[in-house]
Amino acid sequence: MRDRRSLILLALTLVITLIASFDGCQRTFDANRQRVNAQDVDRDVWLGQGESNPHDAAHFGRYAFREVPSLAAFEPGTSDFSGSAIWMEAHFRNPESLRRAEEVVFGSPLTDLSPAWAIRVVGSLVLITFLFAAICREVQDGTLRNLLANNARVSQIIRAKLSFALGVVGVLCLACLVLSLIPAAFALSRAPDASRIAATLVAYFIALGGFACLILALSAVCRTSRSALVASGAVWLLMTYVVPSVASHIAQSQFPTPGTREFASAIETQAQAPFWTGAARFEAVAVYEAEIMTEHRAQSFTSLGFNRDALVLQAHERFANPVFDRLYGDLYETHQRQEGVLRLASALSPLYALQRISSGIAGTDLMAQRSFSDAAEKFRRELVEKMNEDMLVNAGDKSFAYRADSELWRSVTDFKARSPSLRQVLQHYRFELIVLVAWYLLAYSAAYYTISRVCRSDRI
Amino acid sequence: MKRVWSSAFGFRSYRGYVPAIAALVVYVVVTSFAGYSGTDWRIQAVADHAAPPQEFAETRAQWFTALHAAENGESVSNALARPMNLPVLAIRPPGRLAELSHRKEDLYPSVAVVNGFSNEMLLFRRYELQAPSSLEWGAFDIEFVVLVFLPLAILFLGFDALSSDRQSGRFKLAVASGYPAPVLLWRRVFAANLPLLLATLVIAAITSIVSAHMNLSRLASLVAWMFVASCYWLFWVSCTAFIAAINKSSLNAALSTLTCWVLFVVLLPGSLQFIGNAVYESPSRVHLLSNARLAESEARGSVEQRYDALMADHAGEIALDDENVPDYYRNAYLANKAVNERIRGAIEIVNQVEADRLRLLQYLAIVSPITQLQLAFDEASQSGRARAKRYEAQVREHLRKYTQTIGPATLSKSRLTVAQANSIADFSFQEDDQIFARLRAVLLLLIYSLAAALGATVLARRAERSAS
Repeated sequence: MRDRRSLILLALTLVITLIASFDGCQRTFDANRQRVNAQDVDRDVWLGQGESNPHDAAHFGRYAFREVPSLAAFEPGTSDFSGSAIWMEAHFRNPESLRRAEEVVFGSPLTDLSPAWAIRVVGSLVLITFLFAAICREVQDGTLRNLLANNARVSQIIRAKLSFALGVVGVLCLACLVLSLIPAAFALSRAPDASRIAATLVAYFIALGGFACLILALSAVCRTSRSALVASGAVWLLMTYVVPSVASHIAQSQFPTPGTREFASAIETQAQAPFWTGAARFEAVAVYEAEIMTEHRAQSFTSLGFNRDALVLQAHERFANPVFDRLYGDLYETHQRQEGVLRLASALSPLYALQRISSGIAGTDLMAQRSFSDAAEKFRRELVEKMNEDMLVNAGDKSFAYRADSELWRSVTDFKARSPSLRQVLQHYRFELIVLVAWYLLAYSAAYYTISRVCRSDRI
Repeated sequence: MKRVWSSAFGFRSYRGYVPAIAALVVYVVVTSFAGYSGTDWRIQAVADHAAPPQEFAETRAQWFTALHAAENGESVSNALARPMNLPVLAIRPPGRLAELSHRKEDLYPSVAVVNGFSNEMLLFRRYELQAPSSLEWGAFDIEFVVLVFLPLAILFLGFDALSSDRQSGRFKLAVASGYPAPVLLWRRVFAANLPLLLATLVIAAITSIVSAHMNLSRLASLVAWMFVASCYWLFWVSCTAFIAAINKSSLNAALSTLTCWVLFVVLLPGSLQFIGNAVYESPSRVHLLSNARLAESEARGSVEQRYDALMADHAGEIALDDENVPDYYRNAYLANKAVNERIRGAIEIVNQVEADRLRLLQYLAIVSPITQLQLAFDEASQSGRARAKRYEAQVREHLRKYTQTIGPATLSKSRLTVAQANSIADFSFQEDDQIFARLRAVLLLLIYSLAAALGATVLARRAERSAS
């Protein structure tokens, strides 16, 4: 701390943390305002469409907008790279669209600033500047001998060294978290969840504590401050950028995501063409027709007075939905396999494991996105079925000329999705949690062992 | 020879080379991996875009067969070969040197299908298939390595070019023996970092040669890319020399190094983005979507028009009264045209806000060499967001021309002639070769480099005077 440059670096860190916190607040306010506005417009447009054919209304569809979680300002996670809206229309299951990352005109070559990122990446850099010379400089200056002469124990030395560095980073962390909760307190519909905040703090404490112990161990191993700094810098670079980047590349090359055209082609050839131009239509319609007759205890479909076009349209939904389940299931399975590679990679870096847990707790990870996507698909199916059923029962001979009124539109409730609970999140990320704890214990043991060795040799 | 290199690097023994060689090897391995990743990506992307999907080709072939038959006077259903149903595939091919900068390429749409039912807001959809966790880190490309890792390697290899000697007292000996300090400083910094530049350029060249056929335009782009990368290297070498000259101890030099990297690579680009957001609110597509939905709901026309549009949209799926089909298409055309005209207004407003924001950020980016360099690299390699936006604009323009071409025939409830149908050109993405970003980045980097180099030389002279 006596070094002017340490102070400059600390000041820079403070600036980065503040900018990241304000940016996180602004982004969350904007995202929430836009979502609320878009949701209102969607509802107004839906309710205000006047008289219309129900299937036409199903084509126009509705939009599901992803909720902004209360910790999103602190940890945006992967939310910028996942779509914030899903168009729920007849005949098609659509992937999530409108990713914020596509709107960034030009940003940082690294990931965008966020408070959580600032603590993980810049905070760990601050730990390095405070701790890289903590042991080797004491040895070089001969002050370690004085400490040992005063009967200082290794655990006391470690505690003393860690307390200041972790204290500074801890204050930064708390400041970031408090600032990031402002949008949740004032704008978001959901209040900040205390258990999630506590879980976040515990995870950050374990991960940064483990990293600090690792730097102490390196400081004890290296003979000079310079080599300790270089070694710590290399470890930091490896853990913050190299491991995630390389793991991401390996995940994509080992389990490639299907291309847009390939996927669109699969939907066309498996969910659309076989029904509309192939033979699958006859069987699907016959099965559905039989079900309806059984349900209404009718001898023939015509005796019910139901509309046949609506029957065909709903039969297509029933035919296409399992295909969508399979195709999207395969897609999400690929995503999960990629996640598996990233999960394994997190064993090499506590900071990366922390990132994964942090976004999970904040509800800004792939798991939350999948939950949103599944809920939207369930809503879509119910919506389209409701529209087709209304046409089936009420259209009669008018078929597509039949018009429903606002009563039908009002009967459709707004989309609401529930994000995974904290318990589910912690269960999902149990590997990363074990990694964090293991890293902490290993790093502490390494620090204890190496410092003990230095102390022994210094005593001699 | 050994002494010359020892002196150049500032190492006393062969053991001193080890960290430098290790850093160089790590850098070469990382850059080569990025090059391999780029080659892999390009080959895959080219294969993906090589031919239209089978069912798309079949749809077009069936459409033309029906049109030929109708023109020859054969009996053809009114639902077939309607002008609105001719699909056109619009593809964004990989850029000239995209293998060097493909990190975020999967983020943007690269395929769209244009037809008479296309909605300008929903023209690009169903492309968001990549896992967000993979997109977050993006692909590992050479541009990223050069932007982030090259500065670290340069700083690491040269940060104590003078300070270690000043600390140990050897600097005084060197000055006393008539060695000018600036010469000593620059020789060491250049000698330590020249292999990094050579490795970067060689790996970039090999990646480009292996990825695709090297024609003249690709070669010119590669030379431009290398020139920009060399300017960036010079900028960081000058910064390193400045750090080496200003610090008396290795430790201070190392801390300055970290500060410098954090400042230029993390803080400045991040702050720029923040200021841009604070001054001009980011034109969100969620907001655009709301405007487009409103516009669409207002422009969908009367219940009768909607009915006809629905009929036309389902022409291939339900049994239609053949005589009424041309009317359905006519009204569907009118309804979709009205919707697109309304949506176009909303899109143009967003484009204007974005252009204003981009202009502001470009002025502000004068303080951030990394941001300038990113833009220059994107331009040289033909990748990135600006190109993706140009593609989107061109596809929308193509849709407008398409709509105009099919308009008269659809409104008069007739078909296109084969000649007219053939005149609906296939979409071909037009590159926009601007060199402003490259020139701006090069100029800025050279100015920054000159300032840092002058500062380093002056400081080295001062150190020399105080030592003597």
